[in-house]
Amino acid sequence: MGVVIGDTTYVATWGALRFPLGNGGEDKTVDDHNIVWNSGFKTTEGNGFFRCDALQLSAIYQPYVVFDTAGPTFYLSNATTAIVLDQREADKLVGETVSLTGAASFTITSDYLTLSGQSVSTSGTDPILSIGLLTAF
Amino acid sequence: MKIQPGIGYTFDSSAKGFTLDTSEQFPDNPAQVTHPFQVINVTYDVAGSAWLFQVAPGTLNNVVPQIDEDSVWVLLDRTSGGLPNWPISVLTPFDATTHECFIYLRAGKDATSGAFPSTDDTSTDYPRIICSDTALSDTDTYGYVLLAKATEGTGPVCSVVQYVTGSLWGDRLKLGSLTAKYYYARI
Repeated sequence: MGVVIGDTTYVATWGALRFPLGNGGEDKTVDDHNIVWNSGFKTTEGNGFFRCDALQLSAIYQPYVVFDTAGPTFYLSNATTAIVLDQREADKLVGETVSLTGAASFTITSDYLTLSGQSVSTSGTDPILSIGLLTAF
Repeated sequence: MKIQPGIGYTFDSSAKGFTLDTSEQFPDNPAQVTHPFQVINVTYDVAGSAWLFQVAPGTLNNVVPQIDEDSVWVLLDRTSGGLPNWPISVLTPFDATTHECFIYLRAGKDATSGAFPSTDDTSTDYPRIICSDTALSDTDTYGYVLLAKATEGTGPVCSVVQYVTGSLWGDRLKLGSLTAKYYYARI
């Protein structure tokens, strides 16, 4: 059965299918038909937004990438949650370089989409400074 | 005697006298409205040397916009005695070179609730129909949708190209300190 975008107070245009990637967590301010994504990564090319895999009609989520210094590991939040980043979008980041504070860097592998995340052999620390194809804001 | 411009009659004045033609006072479909936000009844007011126009009522996120009528912001769907009494506005300014006038729907977020658009009809953030002689760009304060463009010629004549043909849903999306972007979907 079809869903009418705009039936709720949340985003009503294709914005219901778009978001920037969060950096270490969600960071947003949501009002009716007005979302401010306070920080994160936008795509350098195009309109800056990632596609998501399902309409966000009842609440606004934001997938985010995390560098966990305890592992250290690097992973996408939606590897363990219902937050949905379009798989094609997620795959595009494989092979891109992640730069961390302290000049450390590593290359993203497909493991970052798994439950345990990508094991990273670097001593870098949060926050993530840059990711290939993306622009921090 | 002064005669104000209006819908349903034409007024012509010369040194020999004046003529008031009311033969089309109650036309069957005076504006031939086919969709919301349609620019209609573009008529030249000889006395005021200005183009007048109306915009058929429509909505942005279920909010009916306002338009300037005699320096008062009036809802597009105004009624009088139970009948439509849509406001009449002045089509101005026209660019001196291109002779174009852009007709925009302007809206901003609510200063209190943050909702887009504002529902405070006394605020400039409330959806309003405005005219401009230049193309306008979005800002953090306002998003603009180009409803139509009017082009003035000699004669006088004026043609209108309509771009938006329905009511709208709109979202304001902002990335950090970048200028907010406004996305619209016609409904």
